[in-house]
Amino acid sequence: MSEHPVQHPAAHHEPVDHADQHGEQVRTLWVIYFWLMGLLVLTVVTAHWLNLGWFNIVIALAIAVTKAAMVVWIFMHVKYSGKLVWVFATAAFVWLGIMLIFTIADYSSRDRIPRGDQANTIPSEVRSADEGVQAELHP
Amino acid sequence: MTDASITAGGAEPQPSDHATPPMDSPAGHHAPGRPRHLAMHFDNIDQQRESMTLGMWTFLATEVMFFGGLFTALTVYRSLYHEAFRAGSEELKWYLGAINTAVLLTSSLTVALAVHDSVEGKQSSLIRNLAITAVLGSVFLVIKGYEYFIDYREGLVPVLAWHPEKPLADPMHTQLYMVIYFSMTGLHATHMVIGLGLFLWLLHRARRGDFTGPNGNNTAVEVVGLYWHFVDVVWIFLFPLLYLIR
Repeated sequence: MSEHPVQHPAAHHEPVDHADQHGEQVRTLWVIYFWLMGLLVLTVVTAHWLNLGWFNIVIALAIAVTKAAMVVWIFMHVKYSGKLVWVFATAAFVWLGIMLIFTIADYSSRDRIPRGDQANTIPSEVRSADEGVQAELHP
Repeated sequence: MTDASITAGGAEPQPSDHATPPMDSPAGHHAPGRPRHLAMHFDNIDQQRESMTLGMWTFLATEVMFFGGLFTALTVYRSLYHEAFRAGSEELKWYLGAINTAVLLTSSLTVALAVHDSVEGKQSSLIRNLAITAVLGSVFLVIKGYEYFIDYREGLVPVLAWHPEKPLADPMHTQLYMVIYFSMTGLHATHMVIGLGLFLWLLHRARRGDFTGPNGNNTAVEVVGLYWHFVDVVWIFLFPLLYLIR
């Protein structure tokens, strides 16, 4: 089939409220692309020629989050999609955040648990239950 | 203005759709007055498009979790064995990672342009952008493969070839870093290979006029585009976390 630049009833079907976005959308895509490339250069420069210690990883991650947000928001059309798509896209990253935050909270707080005799840190009811199980398994 | 005519045509699905449920018709979704690409369980084309977009996002949410587990492992072990992970990171060729990031970002642009072309019904431009995307995806994989080859030659592959030239303070945990590096980039590369296959399929269909013809339906381009952008987003995080840890 040859090209049909105009007039395809029902072939192309942008929802009504995005009707006039297409003309300037190409320009938006290029602008986002140059921002992404600029941020790539920035992240390499800050990582290699700036020595800010632990702050380097904060900058690198901030740049990565910015780049990802640009791709998701514009390239992946979340900006132009319905609320339900927005909710699904957000939910994915919220749950990832929950996993990361809870795991980091766990590992970073383990030192605060009093050390010492290993057995004493286990609550007595748990220990006695475990002893009961052990007695059943290995009579 | 072409946009207006296209959208006007698109915004108005077959008017009789609501009046006659497709199930009543013996011809199913090929009933007269109903677009061929409108599946029988949808009322109109907007509903079908939104369902497919939502379905893809649901899949991508599971993908976020899939990669998320590995990102969590990287975060935890990096904080526990920071020096060993830094030593591993310094062995990688950061410039190859940076070039690959640029390649992938460019391919994301060409995908976005391809989706735009498919909406506008521009077949030749669509074919060109899809082809450029496939080429850029291949370039990424070739560079990645070359990087793996260098790692192998320098003895940085745990189990297969582990004989680093530089003395390491904590070789065991630097190996752990390399295992996480190969797992994450390998899983990402697998997604790239699948994406490449999808783009060759899209290219074939675009040449046939499936997306831009009078009965065209561009949903496949949009949905595969979402997948490709997601793979790009994963790499956007992989690059600084694996290559730029200092």
